[in-house]
Amino acid sequence: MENENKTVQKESPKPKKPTMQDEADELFDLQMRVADKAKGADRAGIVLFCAFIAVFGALTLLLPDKTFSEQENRALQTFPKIQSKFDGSLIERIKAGKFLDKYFSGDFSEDISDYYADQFPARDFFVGLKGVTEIAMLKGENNDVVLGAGGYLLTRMDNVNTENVTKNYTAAEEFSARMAEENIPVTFAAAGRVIDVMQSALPALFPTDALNEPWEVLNAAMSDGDTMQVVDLYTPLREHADAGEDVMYRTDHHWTTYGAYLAYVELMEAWGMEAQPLDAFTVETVSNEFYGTAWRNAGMKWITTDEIEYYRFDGDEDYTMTINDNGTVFEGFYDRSYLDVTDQYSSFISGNNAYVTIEKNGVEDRERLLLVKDSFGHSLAPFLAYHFDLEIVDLRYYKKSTAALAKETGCSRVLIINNMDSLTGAATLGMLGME
Amino acid sequence: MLFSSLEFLFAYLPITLLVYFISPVKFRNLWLLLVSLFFYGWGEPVYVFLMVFTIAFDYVCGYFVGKYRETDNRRAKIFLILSVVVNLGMLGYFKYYDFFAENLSRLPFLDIPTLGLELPIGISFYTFQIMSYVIDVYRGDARMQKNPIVVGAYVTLFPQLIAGPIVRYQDVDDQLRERHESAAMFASGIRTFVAGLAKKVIFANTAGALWDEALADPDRTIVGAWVGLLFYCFQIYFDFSGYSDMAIGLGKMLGFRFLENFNYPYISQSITEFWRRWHISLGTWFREYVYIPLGGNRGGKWKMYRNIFVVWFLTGFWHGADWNFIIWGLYYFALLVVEKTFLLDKMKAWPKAFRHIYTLFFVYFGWFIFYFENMGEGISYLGTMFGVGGGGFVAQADIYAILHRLVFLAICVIASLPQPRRWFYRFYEKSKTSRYVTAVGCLLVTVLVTAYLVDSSYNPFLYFRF
Repeated sequence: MENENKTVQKESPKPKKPTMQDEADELFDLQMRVADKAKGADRAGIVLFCAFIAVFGALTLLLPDKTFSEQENRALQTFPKIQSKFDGSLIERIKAGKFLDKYFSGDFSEDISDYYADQFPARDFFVGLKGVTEIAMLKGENNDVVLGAGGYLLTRMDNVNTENVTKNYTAAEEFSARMAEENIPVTFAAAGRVIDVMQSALPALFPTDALNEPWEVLNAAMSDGDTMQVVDLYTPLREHADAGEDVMYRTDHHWTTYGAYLAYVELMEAWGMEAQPLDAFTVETVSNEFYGTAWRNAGMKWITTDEIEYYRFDGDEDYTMTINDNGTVFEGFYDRSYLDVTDQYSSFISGNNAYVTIEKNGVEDRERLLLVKDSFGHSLAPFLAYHFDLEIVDLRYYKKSTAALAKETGCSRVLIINNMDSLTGAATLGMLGME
Repeated sequence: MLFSSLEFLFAYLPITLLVYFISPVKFRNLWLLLVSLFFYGWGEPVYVFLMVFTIAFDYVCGYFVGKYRETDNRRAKIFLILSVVVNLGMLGYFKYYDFFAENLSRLPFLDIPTLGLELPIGISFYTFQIMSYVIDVYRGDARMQKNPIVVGAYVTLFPQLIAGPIVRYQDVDDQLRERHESAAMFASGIRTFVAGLAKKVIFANTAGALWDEALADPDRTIVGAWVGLLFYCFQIYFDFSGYSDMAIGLGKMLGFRFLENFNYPYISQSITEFWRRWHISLGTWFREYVYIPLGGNRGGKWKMYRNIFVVWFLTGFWHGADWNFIIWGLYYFALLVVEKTFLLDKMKAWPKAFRHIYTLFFVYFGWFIFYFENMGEGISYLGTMFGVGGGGFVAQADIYAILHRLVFLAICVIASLPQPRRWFYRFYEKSKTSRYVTAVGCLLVTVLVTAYLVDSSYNPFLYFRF
């Protein structure tokens, strides 16, 4: 049938064997034929392979387990238990069905799988190696993070849930209609995601239709009779980004402090108020080793770090910031303890908390603003604090009535600010409906 | 447990190999049996009992078949039939019960509840494998094995337990009794294993993720649909042949020689040739234990076609308890019969490239039938392939995606050809230095695969459903 293998002068009659086997056999014979000459290399190959799997396997087990990943900001799987806790003898344990129960249920094997993935030695090296390989294959991205021009790491936002945008907008508008009865104006501001704003950094031909979709849905959700003031923070920031300004972090999913300043200017203009000029602030670079969320997913370790800047102004320490969740009090807007960990962006108003109050010391009767925000609001808050005392809630964590809070604290204005990732991610603003 | 998992590579494998090689030779089969049962029970320990029962039962059947086959053929036959019935019965119960219950319940007067049983992993493979033991003993192709540990080790042998290759007992009979592990074999095993690992983790998983993307795309275009299915063709080949390579490699490390299971099927010049190159061990099994016992091509044309029909119906149905697998089997039956009756002769006049395109075209649509268990989804996908209900001919997203995957696609194509392996061994043969280079190369590939495993969460094995 297959006569291509004529070069092999094997005359031994093997009638039953499938001919397809011949080439594999030939290659195997080749290896066995040179076995004597190959002894050293074969042994080296065996030692290298076995040492690699044995040493890394042993290290995974022997090295102390890490319980938390700073980089990924999540709890890690430690070595799992093979059976549940039980007080009593082995016999009693067996009777109670608790003998190796986690092994028999399959939980143990699942946890072991996570354990190896989480505790694997030199994990960062391996994650980086994969990143390099993917980029070397010209894929242009790794783990959904696109390598953009100028070292921008742009997290892809495909297949988002646009229904959430409508739900969030509608919930905010209903809330606004209720607040209108109290004469408290509500402003709804939507910020762009990094991949929206930084479209100038996207590779050629990158499909942007999917990016525009949630914005179109947002526009469609608005109608003329809406009580709410809507401020677009995407378009103006994108114009600045197109002009080459650093309005977004290269490695993170947030805007830079400069980006937040631009948003502040837009908001003040919308409210008919005067924003502080840029030169009213002194830029303090508090970190030049900021590796953001996109960097951690991308595995592109050669991308250099971002800087974190504080826009300081005179008297910005004469503020009291109270984290109402736990009663912690800060002088000023910054929690510098976060600068020592991975999640440095959280140094702005001490990161994700349910409810925070910022007040200027010794000044009574300042206008009070209720800020309903996602994390984009963190670096924006210091600018707003120049003009307002702030009640700040994050509806991902704040489970009480926002309307009641506004009335009780005497807020004269509400600002709801989210980036598109939050608006598509979940219908969080539904919480505004609480009486 | 998956071969392509960190816990297999970095815990199970080193411990298994270490104890295996420090054990005295006579304990090695026992150790293999124990670790293989552990391997099998990983994740679903309950089915280990089923496995132990199967081994014990077929050991006894094999024992009596061997005992009586020369003295009392009728008795031997009874035990053979008993074994075949019980094995197929269990396969039928676990794999096909729900299919029949569901379809029979469509009859107005019948309502059979389904069981929703979790399919014991690899049952389709090990059932066929253990049947070959009893049948081979009955036919005198292999000697009866008195030692139950050896029978157990044969059935459960972890390299091929879950997804083949289906090793016929007669092929490993001698090796189970006595085999010669050597450094040369072990090193050769590493090379094969690492190649399989890379096929699975780097090629199959990446291609699979791209196929999933195409499936999930709500605005799938014509180009997107065709390219998506192309990635599935690569996924299924690299997934399954990668698994076989890993099994063969692990076998070599432990001193076994298994037959090849894939021989570069995508270079085939006809469907007939494709099936001689794809999942060879399954084809061999059906030929040896179904086609030939049915009479093969002796007994006239029509009997031969009937036998081919039976084989392909069963081949399809073996792949899964669903209609699409049956259709897939019959699709190949039709193609093979057409080729056998006249096309193969005619094709000799065709240019080589044209024969190749013809073959790949039908294989490509074969995988389409194979994938879609849900007819509705299949029809909607087929629709988008021909411009019905999709997002037009091509979108910018497709062009972007294809451009950025050209290198990957090119590597997939090259890796589907036989040349790279030939080049590799020609290089290996060349000099001392070149052999050291290959040794280091194997390590580097292992490190790279590890990087993909540490980073990724996408790691399915397609053939686990079988």
